[in-house]
Amino acid sequence: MSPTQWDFPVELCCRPMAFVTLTGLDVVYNAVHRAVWDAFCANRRADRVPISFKVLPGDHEYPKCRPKRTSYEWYIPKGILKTGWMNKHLNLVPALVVVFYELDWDEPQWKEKQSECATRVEIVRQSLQGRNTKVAVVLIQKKTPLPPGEDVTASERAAALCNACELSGKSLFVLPHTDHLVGYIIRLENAFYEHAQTYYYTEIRRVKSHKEFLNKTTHQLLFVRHQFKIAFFSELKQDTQNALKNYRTAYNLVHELRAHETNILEIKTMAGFINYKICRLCFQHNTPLDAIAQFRKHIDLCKKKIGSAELSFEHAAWMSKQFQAFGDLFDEAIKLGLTAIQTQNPGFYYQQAAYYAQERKQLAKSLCNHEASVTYPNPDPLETQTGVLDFYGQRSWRQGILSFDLSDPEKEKVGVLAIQLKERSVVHSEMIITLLSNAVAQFKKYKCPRMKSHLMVQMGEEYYYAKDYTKALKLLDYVMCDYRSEGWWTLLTSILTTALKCSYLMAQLKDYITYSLELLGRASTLKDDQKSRIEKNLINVLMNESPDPEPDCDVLAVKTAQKLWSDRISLAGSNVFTIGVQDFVPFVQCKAKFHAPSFHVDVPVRFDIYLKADCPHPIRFSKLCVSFNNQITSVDLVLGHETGRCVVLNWQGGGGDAASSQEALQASRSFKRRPRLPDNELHWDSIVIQASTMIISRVPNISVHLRHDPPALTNEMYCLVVTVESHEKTQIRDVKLTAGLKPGQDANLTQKTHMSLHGTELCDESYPALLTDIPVGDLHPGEKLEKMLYVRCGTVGSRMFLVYVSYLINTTIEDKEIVCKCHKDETVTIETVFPFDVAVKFVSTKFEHLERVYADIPFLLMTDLLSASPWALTIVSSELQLAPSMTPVDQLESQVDKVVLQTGESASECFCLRCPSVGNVEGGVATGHYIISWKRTSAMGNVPVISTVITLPHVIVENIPLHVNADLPSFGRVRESLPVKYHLQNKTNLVQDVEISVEPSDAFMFSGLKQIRLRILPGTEQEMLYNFYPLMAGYQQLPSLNVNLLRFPHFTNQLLRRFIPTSIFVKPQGRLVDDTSIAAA
Amino acid sequence: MAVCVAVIAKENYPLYIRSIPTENELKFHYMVHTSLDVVDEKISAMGKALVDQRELYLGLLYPTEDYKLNCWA
Repeated sequence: MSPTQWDFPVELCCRPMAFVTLTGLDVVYNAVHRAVWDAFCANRRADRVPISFKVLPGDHEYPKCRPKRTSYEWYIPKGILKTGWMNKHLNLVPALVVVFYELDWDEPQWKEKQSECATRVEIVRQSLQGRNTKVAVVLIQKKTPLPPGEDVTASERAAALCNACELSGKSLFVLPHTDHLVGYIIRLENAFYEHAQTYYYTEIRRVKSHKEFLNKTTHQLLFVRHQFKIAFFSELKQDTQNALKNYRTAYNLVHELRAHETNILEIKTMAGFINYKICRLCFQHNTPLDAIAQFRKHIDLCKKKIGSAELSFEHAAWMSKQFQAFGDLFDEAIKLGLTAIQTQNPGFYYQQAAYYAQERKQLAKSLCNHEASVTYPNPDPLETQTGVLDFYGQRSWRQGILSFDLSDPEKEKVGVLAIQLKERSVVHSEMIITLLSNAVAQFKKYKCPRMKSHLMVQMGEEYYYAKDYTKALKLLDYVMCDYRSEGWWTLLTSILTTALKCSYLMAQLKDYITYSLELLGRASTLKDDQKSRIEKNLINVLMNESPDPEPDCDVLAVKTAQKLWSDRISLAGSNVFTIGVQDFVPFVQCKAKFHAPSFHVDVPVRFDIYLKADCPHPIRFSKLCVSFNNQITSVDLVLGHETGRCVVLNWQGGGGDAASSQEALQASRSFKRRPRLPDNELHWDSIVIQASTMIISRVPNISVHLRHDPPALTNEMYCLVVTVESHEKTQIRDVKLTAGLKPGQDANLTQKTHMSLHGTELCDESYPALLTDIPVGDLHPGEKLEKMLYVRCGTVGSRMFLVYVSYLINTTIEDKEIVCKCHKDETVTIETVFPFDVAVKFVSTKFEHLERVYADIPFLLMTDLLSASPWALTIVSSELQLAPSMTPVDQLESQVDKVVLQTGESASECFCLRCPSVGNVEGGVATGHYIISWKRTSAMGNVPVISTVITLPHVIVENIPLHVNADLPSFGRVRESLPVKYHLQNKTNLVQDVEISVEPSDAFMFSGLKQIRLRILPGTEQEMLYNFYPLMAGYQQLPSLNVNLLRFPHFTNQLLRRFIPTSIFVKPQGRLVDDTSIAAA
Repeated sequence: MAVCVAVIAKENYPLYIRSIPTENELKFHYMVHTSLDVVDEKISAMGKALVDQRELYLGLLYPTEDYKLNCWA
């Protein structure tokens, strides 16, 4: 787009840089000069000083300086700021003119050269007369200069040259044309920069000095002008802090100006410029909040300053520009690292700019609607002699006139007309769309999806006004679903209305139909008369006729559209439109519902399709199709006929559209009570879509019974008797039984449960946990069959068993014979328990409990079998299988054969064993296994015997150094000698020193060695013989034998007592006479 | 002066919107709808803290040129 009246001038928007001109350089034909110039221009990065260079001929004419005003008394300014002023100081009046001149210090013709150089300087000075512009001379030299002070000729000649040119030594430079050109150039330009800053400083002082001559009545404009100039020179000097300060002052001053309709544009234009500068500098100083605050203030101050009502579109254009420029500044600052937020980002400013652009369009439409006969005035009042205005923001036909009264109302009228007619050719939509799309890009970035959608709607509408209906429709169609999904029906209706117009104007059949369907629907907030009109149009379209135009459409566009519609009618081709409703809210609602969540195979499946039309007038449908597989996959409703146009509304599943889920949610939260309806009517909201149903098998008519004696005993063949009885009216066929562990339980149970049909043999691991599809033949009505199943459970615990009976039966449904498969299942939980508890203990030959046994010394193994079964058990046999480390002392035959145990009864056995010395074994020595063969007492003879193997506990075996056993009778008699022989066996490989003593007892007298010390050789035995003489009858304590082993102090008498008896039963003395007398009696 | 009052469900659909009849109703609908961007953002930023502290006033959502939008959650 070419710059318009409202765009800011480039000289305002650029960054002001010191202006320095270079003369005496022939950059076209002289390679050295070219290289010098390139070094100045190339690579001007941020680290170089901000100077704008220009190469000019030595005799260039600079703008003439006006003669200095000696008094302001009679001076009346004609405007605030001249349009050429900024450009003049940026690009025309230099801060410094540099004269390049090729001259070496040892130049033979020095005099001539020196004077030529002086002439050149003089020419430049002439041209700059009256200005404070600095002049500097750069000598381009072929030779590298000597260090300062060493070259006497150089210093002399330099002084002479300065003198000749009237230059200070600081303004003469030497540029050796050697390898380090860029380095020299950078040093040079730094020096130039200093000169330039001095120049601008002087300029600021100069402008400031005018102030004292000004008075507030006639020179109001100058206050602003001077303040602006000071600020601008400060910018050129790169003093942005002072520039900002002075712009702020200038801004306040501009609003102090007396405003009138005639100068309001000038005031606003300048306020806009200064505001732009302030905001720009605030962003540059990284104080964005200051920029925003200034801009807000600016808008607040200016938005009511509309000016001439006939040209109010100008104000809107100006406002739009203010916002757009601020948006640009904001965006630029973000690109340089500023962080924006959701609620404060450039998007809002672009949006507002678009808003004012729209307003401008509206105002222009109403103010510039001149009739065709009104022609553009001639001569053109907007033309000026120079082609530009003298002052910013003035009217071309009354430039420099400060009076608030319109001296020439006729001229004013013509000027206004010219502006109005010019505004007509402005393509407003294009500007609006550009601004909107800028805003869209920003809001997308700052997570404002709804704002983005809103702006896209506006863009779509603008495209519609611009008659680009394709783009309009594309945008509107894109955002529609956002409003639909969030249920903003008013907004959706508004968008749809525009979309319908677009589709009408383009004669887009399918879109036209779709939008009509939705605008007639419940999501539409249109009034009934509008709906009626749309419905009528829709019916026309379906009958292959043209619809009436939409209201408020452009007349020409309607003409074109009517032609398009009539072409559509004559065109043959596909007239069937299938429209999926799930993405929008059509005017027909559909709900499909099966009568029940499930149906049996032998029952007809019933369902209802409910339809509800939301359009104002009745509408006729031609067809309804329902598609199925296992559920209702879709419902198609056909509007119109193939002969005309035909619309197929397609509901996926059992109905529902884009609004249904939200409505359901709303209904669920609503406290509204529905009014009662007659019995044959339904509330639409109360109909719940049920698009699928379960088809289940026919109800079985058989009974399945289970008979068994729980609990099951571990490992037994547990018998389950299944009875199946048919209650069907006809014969049932192919009856099959599936029985066993119910699937889905602990996987370990499957390993430890086995099913068999045969109870006579034990089943092993190879038998399955579930027997499937055992054929049991056919059953006549009332017939009963029984099947025995056996299960063997290897572990205790409860298990669920399943018995599943399936069969086939022929039935007649609606005069059709079908074969139904029926089934019935029963589950039962069976507990498995151990049949008996087995306790095992080790005792000494004295029946004393043993923690451990002693090597080579006999001990007793006692088993105790306690029945835990609620049923009587028969112990068929038992067997002790000894480990190799154990040897029996006598025969190991079962003592419990054929014993029957009732619940809680127990059977014990006792075996005498011996364990040879094995050394020290960690954890003890294995004893062996105890095997019990048993069955239920009630079981038949052919039921197999179950062997339960009990692993006997390990026992710790200990070696002892000395074993003592005693030979003594089983009882004594008072006053009868009782011989006792102690055997002392040395169980070690050592010779043992043994101290033996016998402590007397009150009940006995005794003879024998009372105390002795002796030695027993390894592996041998020593006998000690005593004669005890009992004195009292009863259970008496024997005189105790004490043994002390000198090598084994730990061998205690306590240990000894385990082997030898400590007491004996003494019978009273017998009476021989009595004995005989009894015998005689 | 309040010019428009809206009650919005937590699924972001309008439960109630009423504006003064002299103004363009649609404009307020759009304004309320677009302000939900900010509400969404504020609520997701405050998250649980909002519920815990019962701090229901979300404050000034954003200033438009001519109106101020305040919101309570």
